[in-house]
Amino acid sequence: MTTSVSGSFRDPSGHLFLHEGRIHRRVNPVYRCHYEAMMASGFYEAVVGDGSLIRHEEVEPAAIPGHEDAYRILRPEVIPFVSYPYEWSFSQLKDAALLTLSLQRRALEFDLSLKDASAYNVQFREGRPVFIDTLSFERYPEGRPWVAYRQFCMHFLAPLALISYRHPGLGKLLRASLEGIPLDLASRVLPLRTRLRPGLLTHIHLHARSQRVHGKSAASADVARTSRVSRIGLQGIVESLEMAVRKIGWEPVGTEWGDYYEDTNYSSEAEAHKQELVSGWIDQLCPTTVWDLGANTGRFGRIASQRGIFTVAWDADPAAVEKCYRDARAAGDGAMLPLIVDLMNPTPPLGWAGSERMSLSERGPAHVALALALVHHLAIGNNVPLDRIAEYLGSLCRFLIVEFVPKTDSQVARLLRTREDVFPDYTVTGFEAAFASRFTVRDRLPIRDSERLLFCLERR
Amino acid sequence: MRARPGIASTRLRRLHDGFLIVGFWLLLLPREAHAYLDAGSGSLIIQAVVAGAATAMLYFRRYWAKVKAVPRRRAPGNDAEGDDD
Repeated sequence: MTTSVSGSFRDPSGHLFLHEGRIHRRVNPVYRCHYEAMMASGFYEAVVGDGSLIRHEEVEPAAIPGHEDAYRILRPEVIPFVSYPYEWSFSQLKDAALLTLSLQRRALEFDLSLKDASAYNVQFREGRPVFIDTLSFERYPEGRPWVAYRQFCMHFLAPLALISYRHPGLGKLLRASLEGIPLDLASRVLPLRTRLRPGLLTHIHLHARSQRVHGKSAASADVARTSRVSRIGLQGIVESLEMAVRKIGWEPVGTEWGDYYEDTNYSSEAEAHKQELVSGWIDQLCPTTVWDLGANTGRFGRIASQRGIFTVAWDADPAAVEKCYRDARAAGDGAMLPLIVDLMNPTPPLGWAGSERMSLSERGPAHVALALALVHHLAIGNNVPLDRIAEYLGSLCRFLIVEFVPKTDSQVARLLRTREDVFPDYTVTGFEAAFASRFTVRDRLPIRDSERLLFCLERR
Repeated sequence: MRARPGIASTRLRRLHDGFLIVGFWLLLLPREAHAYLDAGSGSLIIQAVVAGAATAMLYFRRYWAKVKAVPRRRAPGNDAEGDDD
């Protein structure tokens, strides 16, 4: 039994499908000469060897019903979790950009070229970006410009520049525009001083201008069709893009949660006890996957990832996620995947027919979810009733480790300082009653030296 | 007796022959590589425009990297590395 994968339909070279629960990639006869060139040139072995491209094995097409006419069927290695560029932090997007350029540079050395440079062709595996679309490489015809140049600038360079020069929240534009950020928009929003940066001047501002001047003219289309760029010129453009990307920087400071742990109200004893309780429950449950919801910089998620358990750390704040990614990368923690998601507005299904890119819940449920110091933000900070919180969290996981922070806690008091308290049910009893409809209580313990409670719950 | 072909039909035949010749040459020319994305006229033209400058920068950086490498090769303790050249 095979099922097609909804996000894979644009490239006539082939597409993804599911067979016996595993992702497979069909290769059509039209891609044959490119596939042979890639495999015979030594390029595939070189880039798979250093972890830049996903490894695959070939499967006999005759063995898969409905695909007997395929040129090849590939079975790629499994990616533990599919994430999308609009969920990545600045450095994740930057690392993915540099990987794409490095592959294009090396492809040219083997007389190959990337025919697309979509950020959706990159996933994270063991803490590092990996290119997953094996069919993106084609034979390089001498003299042809890079056909994926525009896509690279829209998917990578423009959002990186907007985050760096304007605001980290502008990364969310990628969610609104799956084809990447239009260059005319980026050019208008970026500050004047970016025109003094040769890379940004060329690849965003002049590029946007060239699109404006030549975009709709038939005469320009004729010129474009016959335009040539020498191989060394193309290498120069790729190197110039690499330099432009490397020079774009952003430091995660000044946002809501960036310094949260430095601004907590509980003692180091309470902190240590909370760590101890969470560690103990994780050891008991031996989860296959952990989602740390509202993870901040991932301090508690790391309890799981350091045990080698694959952990996705979600947070709404780009600065917190950026710190989490940098820390995990520096520590070589390959089991940790930090992502930007606001639980008040979690990733919906997106793209063609509303099914090209998966929603957050479609990628679950997790074996264990952590919801530490989270419920009061949803219940009081955002007016979500407790039973609705229990219902939603129950759809995301099998086991839930959740913290209840009472109104007497200064963090909750701060949320209530400038508003009327319209939350009479926000009590331990109200919390337990709301969660009882969806979960059974496995354990319930107070955190020492605080008024907070930790629960270990199992979904009914 | 066959009628003499008119001017219009002669032109049509020439046009037809012309298409055949062009088609023949197109078959001989290397086929354009498969590009399923619209590369965009403006994006192709800007590459052709900036390729010269990009090439110059590439050569300059490579040359500069070699210049910077010279003092390191000549530094004491790097003799073995220098001998390999």
